[in-house]
Formats: sequence, C-alpha cells, structure tokens
Amino acid sequence: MHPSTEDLLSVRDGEPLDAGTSNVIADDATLEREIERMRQVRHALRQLPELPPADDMWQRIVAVERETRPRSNARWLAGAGIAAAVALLAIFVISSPPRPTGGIAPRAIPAGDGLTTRAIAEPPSTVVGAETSAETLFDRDRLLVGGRIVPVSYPALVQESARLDRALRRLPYQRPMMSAETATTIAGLEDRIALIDEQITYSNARGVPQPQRVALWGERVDLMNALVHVRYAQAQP
Amino acid sequence: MPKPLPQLDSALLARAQHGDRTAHAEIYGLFATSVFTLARRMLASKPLAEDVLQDTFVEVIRKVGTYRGEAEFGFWVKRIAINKCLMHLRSSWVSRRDSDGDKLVSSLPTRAAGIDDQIALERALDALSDTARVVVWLHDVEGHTHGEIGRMMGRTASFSKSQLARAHERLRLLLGGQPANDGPTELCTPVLKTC
Repeated sequence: MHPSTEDLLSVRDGEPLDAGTSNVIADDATLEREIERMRQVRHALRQLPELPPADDMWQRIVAVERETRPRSNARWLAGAGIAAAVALLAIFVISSPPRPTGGIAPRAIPAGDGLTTRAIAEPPSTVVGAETSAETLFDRDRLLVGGRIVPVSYPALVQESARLDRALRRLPYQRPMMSAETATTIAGLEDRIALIDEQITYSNARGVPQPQRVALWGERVDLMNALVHVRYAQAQP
Repeated sequence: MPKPLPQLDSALLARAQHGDRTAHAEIYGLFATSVFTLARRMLASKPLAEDVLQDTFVEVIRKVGTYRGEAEFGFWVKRIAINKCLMHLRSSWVSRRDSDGDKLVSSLPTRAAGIDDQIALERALDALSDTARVVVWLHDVEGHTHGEIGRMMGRTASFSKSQLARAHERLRLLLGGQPANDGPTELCTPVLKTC
C-alpha cells in the first residue's frame, strides 16, 4: 500500500508514523522528493508578502467603534423614530415562530412592507432584480419574499437565499454612517443568520431530516430578506 | 516557523487598557498588517478581509481591558481575527463557494512555469476550497496544530489532517506538479490516494 498524502505530511511535520509506512517512505526516493516538495511549498507560503490594509482603515475602525458604542438617553431618543421603523421589521421576522418541520406552512412577507416605505427610494425587491408587489401570500407550497413567489422546496429556498446574499453584497458599504440602533438591529439579524448557517452547515452530519432543513432554509430566506431591507434603508442618502 | 509577532510593551498595554485612543492606534499600527494578511489569505477576499480587520480591532479596543496576558498579545489579537474569519466562512454563500472551489482549477494556468512563483502560489491558494485554504494557512503558516485547528472549526484533528492533505494535493495540481522552487520536475503520482 502506498503511503497517503497525510502520511507524507506527517513525516514532513515530524509527527509519529507507524514503522511500516516509515520504511516504505524511506526506501522510495520519489516519496522523499514529494516530502521535500511539500516542505518547499510550506516555505514558499511563509514567504508570501504581507498585505498592508488600506490607509483609511484605522479611521473607519474608530468611526465604527464610536458609532456602535452605547449612547446616552438623549441621543437615543433623537434617533428613536428612525430606529423604531428598522426594529419593527426585525421584531416581525425574529419573533415569528419557526415553521413546523412536517408540513411547511410558510410565513408571508409583505413585499412593500411599511417599514421602509419612507426611507427607500427604490424597493429592495427591485434592487435584487424582482418585480414589486404589495400582495400577501399564505400558502403551504409557496412563499412571498419581496414581491417574489418562491416555492417552498429545498432547491428553491437555497436559490432564493443565494439571490438575497448576492443582493446584500451589492449594497454599498455604509457601516461607519449607521446609528447604533440600526447597527444593533443588523447585528441581531446577522447573528440569527449565523446561527441558522451553523445549523445548516452541520445538518448533514447531525442527520437533520429534510423537512427541518427546508424549514431552516426558509427561516434563512426570511432573515436575509429582512437584512436586505434594513441594509438598503440604511444605505439611502 | 511562523513569522514572529511584534511585542507589546506593558506601558503601551496599560495605556490602551485605560482607553487611551493613541495607544489603540499604536496597537493597530503594530498588528494591522498581520491581521489583514491573515484574513486576506484565509478568506481570499479583500472586502471580507477589511471587514474582519475592522471587526477585530473594534473588539480589541473594547476588550483590551479584559486581556490578562494568558497568551502573547499578538496571539490574542490573531485569535480574535481567526474567529471572525471562521464566522464569515460559516455563512452559507461562502459554503456554496466552498463546494465550487475546485471548479476554479480549469480557469487557472495548468502549470506555474513562466509565471512568478509567488503569484502562482497566491492564485493556487485562492483557488483552494475555503476549508482547505483555511487549514493550510493555519497549519503551515500560522503554526497551529491539527488539534487546535479542529477545535477552532468545531471539528476534529483528523478533519484538519485530511483537509491539509487535500490542500497539498490541490496545490500540487494547481502548480503543475512542480515544486515551488527549483527542484525535480516529475510528477509524483504514486502518493495520490487513488493510485
């Protein structure tokens, strides 16, 4: 049996290896050369140049740290009107019960939700390349997300989730300008999404049944949709 | 051995722990490049690396008061950055990119010959799957053990080992089977598990 790449890397890294495999490697010049090649790759990786960040990064960090720091009551009250609108959507999404795992009863998401009506010059559904609709859909097999009708199926939800990810990445970077309340809302949504992502990532290993995976993806789509709305509203001048 | 991290003198640390913004800026100056390099190499994305740099130093500023010196300060900062990188990689769009990582091979030159070694290596590193790239960077460059990497990623040491092997197999293919420096040019196919 030929030694595996793992075996060769063990030799390279000075880790213990069984005597039989060690002997095979020691007797084979080709394998010795391969180990040497791996050493050279490691050396070359360590020699890659360091990459300095952009010159304005420290200013950005200071601004973000200042903007997201807990504020006084007076400043909080001044921004409460705007924050309330943003928070409403987050509460709507976050506090909604998860879908049942057997028969999926999708939660409807109003496309032109009142939350961002004033702040958004162009609705997020347009931003992400979909038609806008104010209708609300309650259906066991379909979900209305930002004016788009999405079938409640594993591939459709994964696809919709990817579409929202792309939409989010297209939004301009505005973090230094946001209020603490908006930042908190966004952080809350991102945390929820990260939690879902973790569950999705390990769902295979944990043997999560397919209906539950569909429910997880459905919840991710909901949260991503909310995040896109909030980020879009926040990005408006 | 991995590149040594700058040392932080106790006076600077004390000032930073008392909220001195100038001290924070000095700490940033000491560690920003290594953190940004780490994030850029792990994530293969400049915007994501900038996000990680920003989030890392916001956390450093806020938590420097809790630093008690259990580990070297530079390692403490880097550990925060690594956790931020891993959080980015847990998002599902990155996971999907991960599964598509190998497809990038066809768009890369099949041999590194004629191309500057470092550029070829950087390209090859970026073309690895996210998990393989993270493991090869944390192990071969940052010097973490497989056990540490497994714990950081919520997996096992064996997982880290197999990912490192996968990374080196991919790197060999991406670099055209040639060593990074001068040396024998023949491909060493017998080491492949499939042989």
